[in-house]
Amino acid sequence: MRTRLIIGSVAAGLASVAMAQVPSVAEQVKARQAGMKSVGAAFKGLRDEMSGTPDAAAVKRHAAVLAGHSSKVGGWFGASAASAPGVTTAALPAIWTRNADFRKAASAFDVEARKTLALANAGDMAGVGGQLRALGGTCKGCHDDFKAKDD
Amino acid sequence: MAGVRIALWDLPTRIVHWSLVVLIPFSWWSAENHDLERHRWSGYAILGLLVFRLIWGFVGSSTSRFASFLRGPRAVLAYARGSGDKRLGHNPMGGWSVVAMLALLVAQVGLGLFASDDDGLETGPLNHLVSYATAETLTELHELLFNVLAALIALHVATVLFYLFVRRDNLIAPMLGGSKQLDAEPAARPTMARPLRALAVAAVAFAIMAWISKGAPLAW
Ligand code: HEC
Ligand code: HEM
Repeated sequence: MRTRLIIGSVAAGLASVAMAQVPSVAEQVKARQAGMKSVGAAFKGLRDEMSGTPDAAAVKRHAAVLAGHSSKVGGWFGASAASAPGVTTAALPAIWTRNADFRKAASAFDVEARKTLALANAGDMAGVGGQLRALGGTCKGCHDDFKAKDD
Repeated sequence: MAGVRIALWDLPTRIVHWSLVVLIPFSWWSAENHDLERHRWSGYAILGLLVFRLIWGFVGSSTSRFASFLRGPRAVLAYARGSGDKRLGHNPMGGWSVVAMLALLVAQVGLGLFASDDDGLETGPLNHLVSYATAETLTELHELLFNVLAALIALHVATVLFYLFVRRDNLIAPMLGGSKQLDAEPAARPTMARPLRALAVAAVAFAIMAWISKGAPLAW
């Protein structure tokens, strides 16, 4: 009985360790790239709306996607998510060696994304249009220093 | 030296040719340096030149018209075997290589119009017409296709050098100066289009280019 209990709890313990196991570097990289793609698609969505007569509902939707991701960007690049052999990533080592600067860039993005969402929720389409440059500047600001150019 | 000097390539065709020689490497260079602003301007210039050249291929001087230099497979084979007629202007193989280069260039510029860099800050003027995923694919094709274009251009240059050094036929001078020295009067001289017609076609090409660069709006 006692041994059974011990075996059972050890097995359960092992299982829970397996479940809670940190995702591999490859998984984390894939997840954050998917996240960035979704950021890119939402940002393009905003730009496209602004190139014609904007549809307020669509603008709100895209702004919400952006603001939903913007607070998480810092977390996508944890110490365990640096590169590993065989994983293609455009993330530069500077993310981890100059992590304070990287986090600053991430929070600049978060601030502008929230501003954009507030304007979108207020139905201020002209305001969203004017905000795009500042918002896009935070993408570029981070990519210039922390993302490899694709060639 | 006896013989005659005849007009071979008209001025508009030569301007298009040498502008492309300058602008295509510049487009490549600006893209490699991520100077998308200059890359766009260079692309617009190429777009305008292409539209002009395509129209000119139907209404321009005889040596610039597609109908005059696109020949059937028999003529191409005969030329490759060393026989066949010696008409003025593009030979039967060269004619097809010109059209192939123009077609690739149309595809290259066309894809660029929809392309976007990763930030989504720098885009072609028609990027808003396609989805994010489509734009991503078209941008990749835009980058890949350039290698094919570059290979074709290399072949083109190699051929011209082959004619210069092996065949002792200088094709470069007529493309620069427009005229060619012949030993005897040809059966028929090329007919040159009037400058006014070139101006009219240039105006149309510019308008089309400007419209596309504004994102091809359906209303102003
Ligand atoms: C704090 C830094 C930071 C900010 C802010 C940021 N990015 Fe990124 N982005 C990155 C990094 C790093 C990568 C490379 C990720 C990788 O490959 O592992 C990336 C990758 C991308 C990719 C490529 C995704 C892929 O793999 O195909 C796109 C698209 C993108 N970002 C768009 C944006 C847009 C649009 C914004 C602003 C609205 C933005 N990013 C803001 C750091 C940032
Ligand atoms: C014949 C004309 C053109 C040539 C030869 C050309 C060449 C190139 C090349 C070689 C690249 C790849 C650069 C790399 O590997 O990083 C590129 C990228 C790009 N081009 Fe063009 N291009 C042309 C026309 C255009 C036009 C008309 C536009 C739109 C206005 C355009 C927009 C772009 C964009 C947005 C990129 C992506 C750059 C990046 O992701 O960093 N191109 N081009």
